[in-house]
Amino acid sequence: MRAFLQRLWTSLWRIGWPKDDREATRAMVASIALHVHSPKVRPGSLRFRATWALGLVSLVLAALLTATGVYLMFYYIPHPDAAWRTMKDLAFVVPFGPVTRNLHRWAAHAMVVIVTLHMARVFLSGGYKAPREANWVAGVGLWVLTMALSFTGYLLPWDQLAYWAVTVGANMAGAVPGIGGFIKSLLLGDHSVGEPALLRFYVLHCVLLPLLMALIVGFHLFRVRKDGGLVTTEHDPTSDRSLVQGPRLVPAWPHLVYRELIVTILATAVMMALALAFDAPLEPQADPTRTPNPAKAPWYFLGIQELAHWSAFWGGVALPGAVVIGLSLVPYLDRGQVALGRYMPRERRLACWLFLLLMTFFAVTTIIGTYFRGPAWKLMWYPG
Amino acid sequence: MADDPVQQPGAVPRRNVLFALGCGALGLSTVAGAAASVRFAINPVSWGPSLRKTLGPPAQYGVGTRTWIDGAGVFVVRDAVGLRALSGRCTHLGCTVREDGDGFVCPCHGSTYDAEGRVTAGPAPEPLAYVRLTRDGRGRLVADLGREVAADERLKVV
Repeated sequence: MRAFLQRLWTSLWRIGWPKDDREATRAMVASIALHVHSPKVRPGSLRFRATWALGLVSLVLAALLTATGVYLMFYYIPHPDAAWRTMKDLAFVVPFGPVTRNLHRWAAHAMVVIVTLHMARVFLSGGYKAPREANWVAGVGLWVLTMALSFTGYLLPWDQLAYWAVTVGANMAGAVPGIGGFIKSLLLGDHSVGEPALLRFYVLHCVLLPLLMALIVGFHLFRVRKDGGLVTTEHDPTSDRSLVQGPRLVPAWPHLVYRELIVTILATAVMMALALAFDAPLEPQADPTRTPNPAKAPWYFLGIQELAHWSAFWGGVALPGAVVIGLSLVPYLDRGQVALGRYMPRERRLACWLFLLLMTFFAVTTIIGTYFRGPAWKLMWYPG
Repeated sequence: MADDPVQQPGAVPRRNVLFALGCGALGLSTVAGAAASVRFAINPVSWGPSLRKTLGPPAQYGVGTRTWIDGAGVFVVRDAVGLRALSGRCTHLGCTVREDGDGFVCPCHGSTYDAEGRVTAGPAPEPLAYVRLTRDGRGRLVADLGREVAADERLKVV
């Protein structure tokens, strides 16, 4: 029996617990989970300040969202007559239903924040520059996918907030000149948000978009290694730790793997605490003829809603579209190879300030939309 | 060698012609497949509630009144000349407007309309739509949300 267990264990974990650097390297290469990493890494990329662990936290959140999302699918029914009722079931009947739904909701919100910060970190340290252009574009794609997943997930509870946010969003897509009506009917499968729209959003949210995201995440991680690891100050020739003097490498086990474990545990613990402390909101069931006042999109789209308040096409379609295309083109326009790995270096002051200006613009419009817009979208001076 | 029938000088090699034909066929069938799968996703049938809403007999709407019909999303407006159905769907992004004094206001982005449905403020690009109002076999009013009509078209009842 003991021999059998021993055999079972060594068939799964061929190397055993590594006792020295050589075994650690072998373990990294032999394990499907660990071979994503390079067996040896540059110490500069291990420093917390090099990444703030934002990419890893995004991945942890995506994993939490997948796990809780699959669980929610056991109870959820994507039909206008049943969807909202299953939300109530999750809140009052299903064991651990509230914490599962809360975790899914707060992890989704956190992912929007963390992915955006991750993008800011990469931009401010010049991480999009050659040879990392393609990976930056993949990252912009993942940012858009994060938003698309949030938006499609937003309809599923079928409450008033969901219904009207998606009505507004679908009509915004309908404001695209020429093909707007086509996009809208593709998205909704009907003339207004109803049964076909809910089913389509469900399929997009649970199958199509996560699959696409998993594929691009795979590419994203692959490129990190193929492009020579993360951008750090070691890429800056003027730095005293420059790669010009030859790279110093440390084994990924234990230096990288243990750090990742700690970040994963901390991120999961924080999300779990939030899920236990705060309940995800649920408004009354969707009513297609009664719009709540004010009718607001989820907070991360309130910047766009604020802009759409001025013009549906310019604020809701043209400007967000231009931002996504502009961000994708950044590495092909800004090609200087100076001061890599440093945040906001003097040599890249203009690019960094332009980026921060864009981020601030969206932050300010989002804050106005969230706190200073009351009934009928009128300005008001206190949060409500 | 000079009269090699396969490789005339200046002639396009057969291999290149076949390769181009193959690429063309592959490209065409890819485009056709993509077009078909997009067309598949455009639903030709509406499974939602009918756009024709039955609103009851005209007698229940007094001359000079404006009545909100909840399930239909329209206001029935009656004046001395006749009846009209004014859609409550904001022309900006499709939220339902609500009455605000004589006119209307949209809760989503703050567009306002006067009593005739004309835009007075906000991002709405067009006035509220008037929709076709008819009567069915039993004399009840029927509003067809899918058929827009001119603002001065009234259903006259005696």
